[in-house]
Amino acid sequence: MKDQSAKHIQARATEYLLEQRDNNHWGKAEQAELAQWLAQSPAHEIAYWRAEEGLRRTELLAALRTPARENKNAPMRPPRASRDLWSIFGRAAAALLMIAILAAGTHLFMTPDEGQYFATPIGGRQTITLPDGSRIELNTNTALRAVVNSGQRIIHLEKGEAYFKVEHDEKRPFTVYAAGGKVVDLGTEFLVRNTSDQLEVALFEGRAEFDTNGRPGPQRRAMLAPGNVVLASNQSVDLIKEDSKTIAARIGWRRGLLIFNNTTLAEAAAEFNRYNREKITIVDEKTASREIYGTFQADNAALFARLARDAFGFKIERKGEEILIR
Amino acid sequence: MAETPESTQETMNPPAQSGTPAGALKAWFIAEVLPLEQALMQYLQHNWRHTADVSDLRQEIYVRVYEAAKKQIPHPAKPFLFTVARNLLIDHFRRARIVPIDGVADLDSIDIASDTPGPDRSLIARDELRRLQAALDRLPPRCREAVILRQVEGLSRREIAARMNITEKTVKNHLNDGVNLLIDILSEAES
Repeated sequence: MKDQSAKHIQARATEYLLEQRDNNHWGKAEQAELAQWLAQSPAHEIAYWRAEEGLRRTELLAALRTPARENKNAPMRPPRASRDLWSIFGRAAAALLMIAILAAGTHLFMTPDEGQYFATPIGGRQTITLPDGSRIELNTNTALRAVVNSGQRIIHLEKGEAYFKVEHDEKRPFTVYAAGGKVVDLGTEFLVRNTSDQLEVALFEGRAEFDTNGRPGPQRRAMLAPGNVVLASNQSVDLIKEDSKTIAARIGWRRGLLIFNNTTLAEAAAEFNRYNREKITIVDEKTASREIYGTFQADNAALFARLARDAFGFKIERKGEEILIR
Repeated sequence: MAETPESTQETMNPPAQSGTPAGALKAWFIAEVLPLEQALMQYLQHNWRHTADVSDLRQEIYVRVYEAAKKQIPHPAKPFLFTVARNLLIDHFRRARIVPIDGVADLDSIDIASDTPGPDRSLIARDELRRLQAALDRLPPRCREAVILRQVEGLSRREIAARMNITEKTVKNHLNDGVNLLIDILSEAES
């Protein structure tokens, strides 16, 4: 007697589907056997569709790689060879930059110290190590000037966003100027982001002093502790405290990720557009205000658009370099 | 990314006998009927407190819907699906000679006539992501690991076997079990 229970049929259908997709030796004979099985009963065919649909739905899992999951010690994320490679490249690049900085240092005595200029293109990311051992990670579309010599350590963040990991030195305070504001480190890790309309500083470790330093808008000075975020615009200066998950989402880009938590689609699109030449446009306001969450590869706007279509039910349309979501 | 080849699927639909072409039937079923599965399961579980597995009821309902749609696709899908479900339940009650006092009353309480769009799509989407994550967390550890390596990392059977230090046959079994469990968990009614 054949077992015709739904559970049995479903198991069989799933097995066929996975075998068809995963087995390299799947050929004509196997395909014929499957076709015959499917033709035997609508129940078989429907079960096979359910398996296909179930498997397709789990594709969304790629978007679920939240930092919380990665931090679990469970064997969720196997080590990746590519990461190790990157860190080797990173170190090599840093060493070369060190040499470049040392070379530049030779004529610094002659001219006023204009410092070194570093910049990344759209979608670029670069880590630099300064002669004092401090490290700066530049996010996409970022430019900064670093004046580091025996007497001072000054960074001018001209545009974009950078993560600073500072080697503390009592004699040479590490000062970052951005959008008219100033951050003086006291041995810390912090993030500075210069958007078109506001300056954001987020402190991850240690302590640092923030000073609006005469920039347009209200004035304020504050000592920052880990979890503190300053949002300074021409209208207001807010000092807030963010929980570890929220603040960690700010630096997902260091791993090439965009992490959204109750982010509106408009904000998410703006984030993607910082990293990609291909621009996402949200067509109507109602769609723009929809909230989403998930973790995405910053450089894959197309995947994001596809997920927006499949999971969130929006319509997408391509127009040259533009992806319209409505 | 876990892209799956789509090319092989189209060839295996049996040729349409009459009425709805096989491809259209499949597309409709996947787009219109399967997304209602969670609501259907909730309805069945609420109304059928009998020993039989509700998944067998679901299968029966799907087959009936399939047969009807083969002649002509019913629009909209939702009221049709729930009418079929309701009729099937009534048949079963009669056959089993049981009168579920609260059950019968409830059969009509579901608003099957209306085809309101339901909750906000973005809420559904958020739900979908949460549900997927929760479903994944409920798999046995080895199963889960294999599913993640396949679906998230896009590894082949052989690569998964090497990574997990098990045979390919075991990988195959883990994946079969994992995907089956996922399908079932995803269609479960929320408690």
